[in-house]
Amino acid sequence: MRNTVKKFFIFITVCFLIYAGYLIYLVLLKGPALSKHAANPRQWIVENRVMRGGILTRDGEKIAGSIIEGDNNKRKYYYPQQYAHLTGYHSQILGKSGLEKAYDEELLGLKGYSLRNLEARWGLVKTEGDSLYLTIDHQLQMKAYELMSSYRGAAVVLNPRTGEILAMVSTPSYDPNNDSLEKSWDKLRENESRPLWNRAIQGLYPPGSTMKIVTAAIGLKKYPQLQDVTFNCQGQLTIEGRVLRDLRAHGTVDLKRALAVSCNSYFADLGMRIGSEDFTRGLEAFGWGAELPFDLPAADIPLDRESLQNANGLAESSMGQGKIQVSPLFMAMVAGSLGNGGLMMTPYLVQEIRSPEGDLVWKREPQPLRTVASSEIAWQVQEGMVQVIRPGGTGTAASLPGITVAGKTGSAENPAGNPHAWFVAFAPAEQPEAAVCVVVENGGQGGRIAAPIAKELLRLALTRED
Amino acid sequence: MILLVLVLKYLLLFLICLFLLNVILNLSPSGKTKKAVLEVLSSGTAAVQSGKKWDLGKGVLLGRGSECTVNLPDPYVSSRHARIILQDGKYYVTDLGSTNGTLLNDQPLTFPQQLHNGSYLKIGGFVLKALIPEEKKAGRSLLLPLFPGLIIAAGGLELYWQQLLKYQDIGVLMAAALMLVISSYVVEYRGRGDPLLIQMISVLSALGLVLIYRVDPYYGIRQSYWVIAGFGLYWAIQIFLVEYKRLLNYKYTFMVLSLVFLAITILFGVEAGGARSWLSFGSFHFQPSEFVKIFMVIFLAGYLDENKEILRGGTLKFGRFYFPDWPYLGPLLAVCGLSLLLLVFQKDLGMALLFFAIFLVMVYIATDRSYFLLLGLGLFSAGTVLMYHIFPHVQNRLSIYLNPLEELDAGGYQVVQSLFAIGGGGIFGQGFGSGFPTLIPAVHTDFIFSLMAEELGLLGALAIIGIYFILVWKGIQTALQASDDFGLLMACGFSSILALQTLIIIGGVSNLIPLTGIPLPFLSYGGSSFISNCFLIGMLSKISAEGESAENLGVVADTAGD
Repeated sequence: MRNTVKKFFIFITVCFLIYAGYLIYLVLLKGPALSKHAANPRQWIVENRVMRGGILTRDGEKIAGSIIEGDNNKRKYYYPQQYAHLTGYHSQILGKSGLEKAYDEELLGLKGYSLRNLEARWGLVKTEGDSLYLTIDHQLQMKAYELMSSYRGAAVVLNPRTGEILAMVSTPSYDPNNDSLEKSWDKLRENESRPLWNRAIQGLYPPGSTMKIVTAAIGLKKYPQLQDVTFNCQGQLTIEGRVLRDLRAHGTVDLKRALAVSCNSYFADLGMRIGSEDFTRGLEAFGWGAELPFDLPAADIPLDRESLQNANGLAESSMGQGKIQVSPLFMAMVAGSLGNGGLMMTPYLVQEIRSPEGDLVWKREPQPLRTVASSEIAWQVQEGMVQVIRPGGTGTAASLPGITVAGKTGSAENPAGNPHAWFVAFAPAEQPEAAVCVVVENGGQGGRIAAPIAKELLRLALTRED
Repeated sequence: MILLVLVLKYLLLFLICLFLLNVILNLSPSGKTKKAVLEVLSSGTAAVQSGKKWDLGKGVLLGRGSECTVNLPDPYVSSRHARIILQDGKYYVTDLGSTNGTLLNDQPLTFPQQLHNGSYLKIGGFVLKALIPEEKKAGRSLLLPLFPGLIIAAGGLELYWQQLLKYQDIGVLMAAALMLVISSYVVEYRGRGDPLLIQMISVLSALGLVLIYRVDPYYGIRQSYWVIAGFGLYWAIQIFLVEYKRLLNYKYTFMVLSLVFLAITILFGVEAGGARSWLSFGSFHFQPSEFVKIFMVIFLAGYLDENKEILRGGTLKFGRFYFPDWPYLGPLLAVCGLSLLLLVFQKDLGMALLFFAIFLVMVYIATDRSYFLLLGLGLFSAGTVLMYHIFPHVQNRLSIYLNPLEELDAGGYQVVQSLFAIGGGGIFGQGFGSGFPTLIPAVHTDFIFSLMAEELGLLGALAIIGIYFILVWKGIQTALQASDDFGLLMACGFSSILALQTLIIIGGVSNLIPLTGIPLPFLSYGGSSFISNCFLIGMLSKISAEGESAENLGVVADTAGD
């Protein structure tokens, strides 16, 4: 009998230990997610005791701030459409998104255990949260939205030497101010052009011919003498029974010329010669199949190894069709890295966090992400990209007087209709200060639709005061 | 200013952790005292080596004769030379009229004298040394019984600062605090039985009182009355119940009482919180099942004690298993089945689960037969499946358990809010008075643990689980040291009530197991629950005290002999 009692007690002991372990798991591992859950009313009670910090651009323009309305704080977005996808929204009913979500604790000043935080947590005094200072240039952002607003698509401008995002828009956009957002929520969600979706970081598109700068870099790595080799374009190429067409027969072309006229046959042939193993490795060096670190939840760039195993897949991928996909942000980073001697920088949007008194709480340092190519190769690709803008190239619409622009057009075939118009560029070519990527969904020829937008953005980016 | 607030907010957590630490440091190693022995220092013959030890036990006989435990084969030793007896925890040595006499510390022994630790006995050519361990309960704690008072004071201070404490309530709260502290001190210094039992529940009651008052002063004041009444009942049991064995004669009375209580509830009960398990007398609600759980344990302990031998063997054959005959098995199954049925009718699933588990544990312990356990678990699974198909609210509970966040609007609100509260507490909690109890329905009864975890944090929650565990452990220890099998079974039943109730409700509110409502002993608001649990602890104390004195008299139930 006593032994059975002891057995029973061992059972009870094990139960209590399991309970203790489960509670530790629940609080330490599940706790943070539970605290931020949209249905948790606690965060809103705490939030009402805090003046949420503002969001400002690099030049000090306030784009989001809190105003007091009766007993409640109200969030106000001063340039709603232009910045909607960056700031996100902030609603008791719909939850939070964008920077409002990603930097929630900082904006509320609740990060960590400082005394100021405790005061806010206990509701002793109404405190004020920290403010975010973005890398965005206000004028450039406004201009970008203005240029893009009549299209569906995205535009990204960044500084290739630091990774700072100077402008990032996604169109169509929406109004994140609560009065408007909560009323039109259902309509926004059902809208077929998906205004709530941030195309610049979440959209994955085939890159079309802009991919050729990547193929060129991979080819140069495998064949250092590639620049001296010529290829005879006959206007079409037959690969395993499938015919691949060009707009016209380009005749004898070398690498620079092939980039300038965007010769499909040249790059299909080059891709097949590189072979699936080296091509895959080359893509990985650029960041395909890796995580894309960013302040907002950006889509990782997928790498479909399977599709690169046969000649047709290789040929398609090397000219940016088939299973190859990129986001506009990523393509801007690729173009920027070729201008930056092959060094890709980690992109970022928040450069400083400042306390309500204006003291610096946190400051971002630029960080290299990866080396995508040697500086020699980057330079050679860049020479080809300069030819794209020069007379006879496909991207002449992006030329700026007195400044050497390097770019590449793209028209990505897609099942949804007209090709997506792409344009990536950086300038000045010798020492780039800005890299840009423009995508217009179903816009047709990249050189006609996307290049002029890119040109305007580059011009403004290069003349900005900083 | 902010530092003062910091201290006020976390004083409660600090006190609870300190209490637990104090208890753990003061624990004697599982109540096992070292044995008293007699060691041979120098031997008179080669047959006995020096260094040999004899266990003194409840007393031994020393001499040359073979009937003597301490056999000293020496011609100078008489056949029955001397005797050592145990009385009131002390050993006495007497010379039995030996030829050559006995020397105690070189003095001839003429009358019975106490044998102290390190005393020398000289018998013939032998020199024997007595090694007697120090008495138990050497150090009494001055601090431990004070904790319930400190907790109420700390809670009151913070509530006062938040302007939640009403002046007219201070007297009642102080009376309750005084009751708890005085009870703890009396037990520590004058009482018999394990003092930790009452100290543990005093601290739990004090914390419960503070938390309940913080949620709603109306309930807090009522709980203070329950605390005073409950501890009054505890002392009534200690004073008026002469021997717990007397309850054995009334076991069938308890059985009938149990069934009548449950039946009355079915007939006249009112519904509250989804379960129809309350009798209403004006503003006063009474929950009979809380008392039935105690009566049931007393009945089962009596019945099983009487019939355990028969229940162990078996003549009834089911497949490969033998079961006891119907006349013995029948009443047990009938009572258990009937009470379960009544509880299920009341939709009081938590209580039904508790009853069934206690029944299983007690039968298993009484019979030592694990197939009863297997059979019970089989029946339990079958019952669960059956209930799942019959009652829609059981299905609902299960889907909430599996996916609480998605069932938010379909009844999962309470559990989800509880999870938010526990998860939001972090390691140290939001601080006492800074949580959001109004967001959880029934927070002062079944969900008090969630509030505690939110305000006192993971640390507080673990400390409370630790306190419950030590309470259960002390209960089990009481069972093991009980002077008879009736006491053992009763103590086991009561300990399982404490353990299972704690596990069922803490698991429920943290969604480790499906939620079935039941109060958390001593912490949750509720008069019936509090008083019945005091009754339970009163009985445990009684069993512990009688087991202790039986041990001292040297009649510890080795008679159980298994």
